[in-house]
Amino acid sequence: MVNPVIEVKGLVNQFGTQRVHDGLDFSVYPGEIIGVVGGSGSGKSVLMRSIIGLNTPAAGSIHAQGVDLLKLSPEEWLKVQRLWGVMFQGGALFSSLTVRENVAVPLKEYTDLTPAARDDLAEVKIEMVGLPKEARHKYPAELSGGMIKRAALARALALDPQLLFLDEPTAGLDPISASAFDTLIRTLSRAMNIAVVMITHDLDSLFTICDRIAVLVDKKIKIGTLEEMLEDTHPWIHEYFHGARARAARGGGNGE
Amino acid sequence: MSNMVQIIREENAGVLRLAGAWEASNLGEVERSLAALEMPAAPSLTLDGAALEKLDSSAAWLLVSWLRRTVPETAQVHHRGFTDEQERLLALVENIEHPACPEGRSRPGWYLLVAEIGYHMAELLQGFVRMVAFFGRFCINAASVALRPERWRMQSTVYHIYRHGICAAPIIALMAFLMSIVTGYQGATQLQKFGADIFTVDLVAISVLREMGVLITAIMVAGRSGSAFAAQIGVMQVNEEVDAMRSLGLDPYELLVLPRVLGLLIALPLLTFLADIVGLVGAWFVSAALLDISWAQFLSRLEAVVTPHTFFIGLSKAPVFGLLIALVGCQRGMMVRASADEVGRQTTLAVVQSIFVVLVFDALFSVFFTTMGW
Repeated sequence: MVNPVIEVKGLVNQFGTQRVHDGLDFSVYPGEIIGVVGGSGSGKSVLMRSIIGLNTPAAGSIHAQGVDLLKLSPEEWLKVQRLWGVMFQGGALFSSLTVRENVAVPLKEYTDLTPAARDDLAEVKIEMVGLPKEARHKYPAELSGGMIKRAALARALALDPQLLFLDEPTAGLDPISASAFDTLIRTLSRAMNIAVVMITHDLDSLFTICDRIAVLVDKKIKIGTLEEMLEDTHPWIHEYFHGARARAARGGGNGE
Repeated sequence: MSNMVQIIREENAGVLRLAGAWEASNLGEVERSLAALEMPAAPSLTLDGAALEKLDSSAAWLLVSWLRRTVPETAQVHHRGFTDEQERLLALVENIEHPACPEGRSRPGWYLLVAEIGYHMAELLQGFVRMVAFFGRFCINAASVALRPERWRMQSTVYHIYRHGICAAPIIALMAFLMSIVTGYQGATQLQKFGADIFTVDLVAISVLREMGVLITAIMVAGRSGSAFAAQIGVMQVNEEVDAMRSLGLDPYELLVLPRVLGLLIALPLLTFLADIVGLVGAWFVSAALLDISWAQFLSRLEAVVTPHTFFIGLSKAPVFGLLIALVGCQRGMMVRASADEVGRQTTLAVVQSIFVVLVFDALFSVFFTTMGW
């Protein structure tokens, strides 16, 4: 059995008296793509933020590389942190830096490469995510939505993480760009053996590239393959995967 | 911890054995080991990855680009001992063209200097043109709104008078008080030498009423409100709120600029009045403390030297300064284009430029008043 990249056990998140997560258990294995779905306010982003340390859970444990992330000192945390790359919903590129400088930020911080090699590597990542060459000296404000997503992906990939968090990677993209982006994620995940956890509402992504699907419902998480989800009897899950939009997306998928 | 990066060369057969963890944390070492390696002159080269603990895409790229740079194209490169995963990774990075096409536009220093100066001059000129255009637009807007009272944004205007006038009162009063004490103190020590102590009152009262009161107020307001205007409108630009207004058929100039300009136009004279009064109190305070001048003496001297027109000359400049500060602040805010960096830059420019413009106009006023003999 392969060791999971990350293992979450009994995760509880609470804001005031409102409990968002009540005992989540799940693991992410190397190279797989997990799609996280759930209604608005079901705590998809909170789950991501808990794992990457932007939010401290009320209870539970998160294991990665054999240690509990929640018990690490800040210095140890910095070391584990390089395990994952994060792509935020709006890209969250640093607006005062060009695309290449953005991608080079992690390289500059964590490696002792010469500046030339650093720029070179940053450009390789930019190339890998399929951004045109002209884009590398542009500022985020000068990029289109799709290019911002790709640049953000390049920055998340800068240190070759084992785990990639994507927050709504295809939201706001046209269907052609979205499907190209899906393919890109799939290709990179396969080639570099990266586990991907993507929060998404894009049913096409769920049906085409996700190996497993995690559903946040009733403060718990249900995780399984697409087939398992399709047969689930929980009303919300049934509605989600058998609604008109889901049928349309699936129908298109089968037709290919 | 991960093992050392190693490249072992087997002399006879042109074999390079790669060992250790070739990953992000060791990239510097990978780069240095590759750079230190002498290229074997064999016609073919075999890379042996059996001892690799890890290979990530960055390290794979460093390897591939080193091969491209040092191994002649005719030489054959064989791989052995790599896992399937590592082979896939190498294939992935091999597909990437070498991006290192240097921009190659290294100009001489004098060229860059001239270009820089030219760029800034052009920008200065553009900034001036934009400012005039903005002012023109404001005037047209104000005129069209003035004729239609139903479009007056009273609530917003009153809010800005409160926010940028009344809320600024304490700090402006304090500044005016301290300023007149400083002037009075300096003046008194000099004038005492001539036995002309009483003239301290003239000095402080006239300078406060004519120049200092309004100038201190304007500078304070430029820092306080000019920056706030630029930042507020700038962030609204970044959030596309200004575009949203336009899409709803609302005029952002009428909604955002007009109430702010009007607000400062009213608030600045009020604050100046306050600064004048507090400044005079400061003048009396310093005279009483330093020169033993009584309240009655102070008042009679004040009556003798200060005429209403001294007071009105100072006050007449206030609305102009208020207008300038608000216009510069709003214009800078409107110029922000979709980035947090821009907001900071334009806010700084708003403060610097509005203080600059205020001082320029103050100089012009001085010349004008002197020429008119007021």
